[in-house]
Amino acid sequence: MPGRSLVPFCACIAAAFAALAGGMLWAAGPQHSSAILAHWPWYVPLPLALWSVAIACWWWCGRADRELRQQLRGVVLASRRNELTLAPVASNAVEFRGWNRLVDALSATQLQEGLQQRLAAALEGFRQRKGEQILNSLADGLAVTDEAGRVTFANETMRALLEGRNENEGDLCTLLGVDADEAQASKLLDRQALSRQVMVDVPRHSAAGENVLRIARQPLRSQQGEGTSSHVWLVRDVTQHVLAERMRNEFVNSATHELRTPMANIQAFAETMADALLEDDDLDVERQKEFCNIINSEVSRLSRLIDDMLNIESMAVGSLSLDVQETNFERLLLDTMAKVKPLMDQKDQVFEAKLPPKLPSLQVDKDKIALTLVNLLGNASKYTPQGGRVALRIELRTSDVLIHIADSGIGIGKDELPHVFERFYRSRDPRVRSQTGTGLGLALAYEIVRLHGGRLTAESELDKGSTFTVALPLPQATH
Amino acid sequence: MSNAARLILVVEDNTAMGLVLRLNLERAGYEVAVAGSAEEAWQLLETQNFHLAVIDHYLPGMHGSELCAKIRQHDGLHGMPLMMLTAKKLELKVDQLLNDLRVWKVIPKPFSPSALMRWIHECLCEHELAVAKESELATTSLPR
Repeated sequence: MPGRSLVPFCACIAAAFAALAGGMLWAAGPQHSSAILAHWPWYVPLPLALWSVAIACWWWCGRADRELRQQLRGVVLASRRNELTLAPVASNAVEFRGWNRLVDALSATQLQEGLQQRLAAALEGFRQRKGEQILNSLADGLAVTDEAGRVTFANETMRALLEGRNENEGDLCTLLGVDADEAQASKLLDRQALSRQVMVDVPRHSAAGENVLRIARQPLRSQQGEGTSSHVWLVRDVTQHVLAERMRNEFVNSATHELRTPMANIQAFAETMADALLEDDDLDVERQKEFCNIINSEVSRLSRLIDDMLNIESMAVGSLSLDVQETNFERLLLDTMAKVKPLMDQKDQVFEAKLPPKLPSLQVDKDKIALTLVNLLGNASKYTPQGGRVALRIELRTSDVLIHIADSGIGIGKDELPHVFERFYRSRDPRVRSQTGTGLGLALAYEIVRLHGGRLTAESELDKGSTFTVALPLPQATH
Repeated sequence: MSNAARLILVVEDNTAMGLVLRLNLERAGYEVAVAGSAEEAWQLLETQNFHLAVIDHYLPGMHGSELCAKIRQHDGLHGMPLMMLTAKKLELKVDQLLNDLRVWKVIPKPFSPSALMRWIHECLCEHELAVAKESELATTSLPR
């Protein structure tokens, strides 16, 4: 209060004294006045100075009031424009301190609201960017098309599937290179199906070769549930899945054949023999022996197939184990050759075996290595025409032993060679398809050799023949 | 007609199965020829008159169903009764074999040899009856 009331009061008193002094000089008349002024010349500017001081004091003391009034007028105007900005007043008076606190509180609220707004905007932007990042990191291609079928959004995977084609040029099916004449693709083009979900697997020819796309198209509905002609598309490359499925189906088919054939022989021979004995037919002992041998051999064939299937299953779950023991390598090779020689004799094939004069003993699972070699030599004979050549060559090196199995058979194409060790894989070559097989043998052989710390490799030339090489570490090299 | 006068062709690449079929057919009184492939079978068909052919579906080279189609297209052989053995029944288009190629029966492996003998007998009887009926019709429709 004193800051506001005492100063103008003093100023008024000073002004009154100044006015009184001026009046006295004027009343004294010019003579006295000049005498007074001559005697006290400092009386002349005194009233003016005092008056100036009074005005200055009045202005100084009233500035906070004026500023407050001005701001209050501004409040009315600013509230109309919704742009309220208040500033603290430079005064220590109680009412101004109150005003300043009010301004501070309002500013803090405004600042908080501003911060919240900026934070909300930042969050929204973040969500949008995050959403876009999530969509772009999807392994599936995702696109949105408008009523005219034009692409309005495509994530990075979809752009990759479009292989550089401009997403604004043409409809999505055409851009994806889907053959419209294909039965499944025609479901996407059916106008009746635009209002419901459609999912199809369609083949397409792309720069990377032939592949299969699984396309799911879903009508995009607004929140009000009104149907629109916009669609969300999800596209996934399912080529590997389709190939695996096809290989599995082929395996089931081949395995069925491989199981039924020995079973048919067993049933036919057993029943024929039983009938002959029951009817007291003249089935001589030699023939009975022959029948029993055939039954025995077919049972072994079945058993081998079941072992292969169980081994391949163990291989898939990583539980294929080895029973490693010191093995006479020469004995192992001779037993193997004895097993496959009849196959080659049936086809009049020449079998050449080149073994070093002295062979070391090996630390291997005898049965599984024998199974591997029988598989490789059996394949060599199976895919080599009548009168062809099959060769077995052993190469001893310091750290390992190489077993080369070469044939003059139909060979394997360059595109198929990298896949021959895959489970269930069978060549598309009709000469291979005409032979029975499950696609298990080479996959199993590869895994068995790998488990021994060795390596199975293949070289081949179509129509010239193939060479499979088994590299097995020698005992001193394994430790 | 006794079974001895009937000549059966067995087309089977599995030597053991060929052997057991030959044995059973011979014990039933048929005359038998076994071919290991469709090509070999075709050579036999061109030189001998068979009453029935039992063909395995899965053969090296030309498949059993292709051989059946070839037989049906041949003027002299198109009426011959055919039976098919298969270890791949799932893959086979059985309806097509039965209707289009007029295969009398598709027999999945494994099978009972005695059942096969019974089916062969039934098939031959049915065929001979049909042939007799056909020739009777042809005789009655001849102009007097």
